[in-house]
Amino acid sequence: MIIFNLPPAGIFLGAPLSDEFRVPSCDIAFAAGWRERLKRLEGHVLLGGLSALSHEQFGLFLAKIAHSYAAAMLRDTFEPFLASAIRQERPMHLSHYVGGQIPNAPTLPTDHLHTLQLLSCRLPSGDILAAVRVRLFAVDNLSTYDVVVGKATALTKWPE
Amino acid sequence: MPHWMGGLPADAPPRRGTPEYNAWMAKRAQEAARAAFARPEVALSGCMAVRVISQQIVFKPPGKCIYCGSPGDPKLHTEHIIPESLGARFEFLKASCHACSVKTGAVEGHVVSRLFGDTRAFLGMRRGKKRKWPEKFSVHVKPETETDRSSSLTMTTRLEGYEKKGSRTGRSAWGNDHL
Repeated sequence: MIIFNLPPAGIFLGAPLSDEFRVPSCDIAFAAGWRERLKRLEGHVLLGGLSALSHEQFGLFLAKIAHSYAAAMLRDTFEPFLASAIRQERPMHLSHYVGGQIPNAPTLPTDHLHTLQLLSCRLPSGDILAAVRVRLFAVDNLSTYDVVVGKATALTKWPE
Repeated sequence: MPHWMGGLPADAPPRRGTPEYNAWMAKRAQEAARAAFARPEVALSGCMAVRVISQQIVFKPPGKCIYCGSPGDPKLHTEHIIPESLGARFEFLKASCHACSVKTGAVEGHVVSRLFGDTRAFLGMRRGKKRKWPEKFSVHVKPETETDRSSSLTMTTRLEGYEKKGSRTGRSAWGNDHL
């Protein structure tokens, strides 16, 4: 399995808005026992391929999961950032809102296959952002993605 | 030469234009980026999780498309928050219009097949009506040198670790060998 690693969303880093979304690195996880088998084959072995999957498609995939979960949980009580990007309207600003795990919110081991979790993030400026922590195949402790889906409003009710 | 004899101090930057200087500059840039991190105060709320692949969770319809906001589409589609093909059944009823559903579905299908295809096969996740996982997968073998593309070959191999039925609990079957 190919695991994409992302830096935290640009909004936390104070990065300028950009329409470029890049996955800087990836890891490969093998199923138990595969590595020994693959060693017997000469040269490097690739399963599937990265070339046919664009970075942006992966960003849109995470954005769609996070936005729809936030819409289901918070209904329309937040100002969405990603709705137009999911409709593939430019500029998308995916790198500003879609990113890897926020360092000061650690994850815990779980026996769930996938987990989704809402995060409220209060910035030093006082704004409260709604984010969704997406952990696909969390049971295997694979990459965690924190996606900023919108800005909380006075009406936002955070589920307990 | 030690500093007291007129040499450079230990923490002096390397000579400009050398690979050491480039590495030193990259490290400085990384440290600067880390320092600039906004450190938001984060509060985590309730966690929605898939424990068993067949578990179904349904959310009430929002009354409009959650992507474009159009209320007029008479046939709003059920939105799968995590794609059903990844073993999750989080259903958001009547949540996306036809146009948005087509766009999101295309991206999802592409990412799931390109990125999670091997995992889905290994866990024996559902593959749609009347479609079964093949017993053989093609493996593309690349030679040692990237430039010698003419000698690359495609071979077929049997996956020994593949289980047809798969685990329905989602329990880990993976070793994390990060390369």
